[in-house]
Amino acid sequence: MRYSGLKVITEGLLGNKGWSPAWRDPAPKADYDVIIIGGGGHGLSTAYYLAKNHGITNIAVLEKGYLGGGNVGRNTTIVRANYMIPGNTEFYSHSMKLWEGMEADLNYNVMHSQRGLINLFHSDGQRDYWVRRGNAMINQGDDAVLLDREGVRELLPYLDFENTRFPIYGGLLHPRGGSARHDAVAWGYARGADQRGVDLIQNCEVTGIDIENGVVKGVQTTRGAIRAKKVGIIVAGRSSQVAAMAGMRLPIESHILQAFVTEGLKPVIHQVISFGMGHFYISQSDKGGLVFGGDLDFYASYASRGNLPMVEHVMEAGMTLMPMIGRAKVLRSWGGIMDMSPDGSPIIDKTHIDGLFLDCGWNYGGFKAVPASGWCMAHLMATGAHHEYAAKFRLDRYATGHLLDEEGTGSQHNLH
Amino acid sequence: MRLKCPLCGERDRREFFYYGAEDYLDRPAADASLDAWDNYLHLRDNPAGMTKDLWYHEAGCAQWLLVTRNTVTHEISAVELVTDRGAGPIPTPKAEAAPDPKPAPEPRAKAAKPEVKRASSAAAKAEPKSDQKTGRTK
Repeated sequence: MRYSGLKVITEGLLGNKGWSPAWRDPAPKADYDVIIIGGGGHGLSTAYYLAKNHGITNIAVLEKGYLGGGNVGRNTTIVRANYMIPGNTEFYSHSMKLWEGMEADLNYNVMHSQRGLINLFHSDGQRDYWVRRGNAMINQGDDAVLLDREGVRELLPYLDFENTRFPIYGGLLHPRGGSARHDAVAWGYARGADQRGVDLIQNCEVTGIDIENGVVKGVQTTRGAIRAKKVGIIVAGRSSQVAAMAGMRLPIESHILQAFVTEGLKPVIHQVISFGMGHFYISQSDKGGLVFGGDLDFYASYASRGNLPMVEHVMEAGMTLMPMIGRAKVLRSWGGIMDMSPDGSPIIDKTHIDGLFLDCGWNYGGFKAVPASGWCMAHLMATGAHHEYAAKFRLDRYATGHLLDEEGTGSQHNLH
Repeated sequence: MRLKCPLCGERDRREFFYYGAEDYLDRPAADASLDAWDNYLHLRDNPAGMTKDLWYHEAGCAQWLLVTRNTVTHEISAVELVTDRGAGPIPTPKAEAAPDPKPAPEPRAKAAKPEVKRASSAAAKAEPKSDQKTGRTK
């Protein structure tokens, strides 16, 4: 069924009896051409683009819980294309373009709001860094505007401009940056894939990967064995556990990132704002809640909840930047499991096992990558060749030294 | 989260710097294979469950700690000093392989000290007498 304004009105007049489920709930078949392990943002978009771009539809997406129940179900919703180094810039630029055409393509409202994203800076050195980054964005064909202190004040008058510890020197504005509804993008891709014949199998946990003579044959699951010629592991923070089923150790360490939402407020924060003093960033959802977060907790964890020291640090940062939010009540917080790679950049690659593919290492930046990750992973799985926009996302780059060290901190999991 | 440092006792998580998995203690030889080094630096078990990792007590005794904990529940089973475990400091390269030590720098020519006429030398000679008088011990 096609969604439209007319449909909403017609159904409203007819008692809303004509709506059908957004996707089927099929039982798994005994075999498929392709199995995608992981029904999150990246897994669902991969299935969608395999069907749409490559005509491959005999696919099962196996999700151990419910679709979109992982990191795509809880994140700070930021969509941006402001990376700096070759290997990354072309990928995120492509992803942004896919976001911009997504709602028309998927016939689904993902509430993509290009409200603008501002990275504040607080010293000459930091300004130089953001000027360089802005130029990298412009070279890539994306948009960046350098704001001085008064330029920031015009847009964000409520910031603490008297702050002597972190004086606001200015900011880099990324006008096309913004936010989107995280659940919606997962559901939009799910519905799109399902409409093209992809089977979305929920409550189906993969418990083993069958390999014979270095060739993948299929998987074992809690809903039975399923054969396939190609298998893609797209499970973010759980990558190590699933890869271990294929006898692999990955360059991944799973860390926890906390985020927070306040009660609903009248619109006060109209862009996505990032504080240069550390890793604090904030925006306001269309429901009115302030959505904000900061640094990782900085230890390996699968607990999906963090500890109070980082909570305190994030609140301090928020109060330092914009004291006006102090009266808002924090309604909920959560922690996600981040697949940290040594250089902070992702992996979209084949493995040494024929037919087994891997998409992981998104650290805490996977949400904006949902469309391009699916596009490039689908290309790799369908053709066997790396897509030009993800050509450098190699699994072996840590051994060969071809790091994508965007932050320039070194090849170590705990430094990103 | 609290870690019970063997030297300092129970301390808040803020006092510690997390480095990574205990894999870092098994440093390969300098001439080991690329695979051995890649394994050491990058590849991890990354378990959802019991793990052992390295924490540095930077705001306390500055000792390296090996912590046995559960990554799902955050329960901490044991905290030991890395040195107690016998892992010791990072091994130094073999003597033959070590580069020739730099020759010791030549001592700087000492500047000739200007002669200082001590006005007090006469007074210094006179001092012992006064010491004896007062019985002050030197």
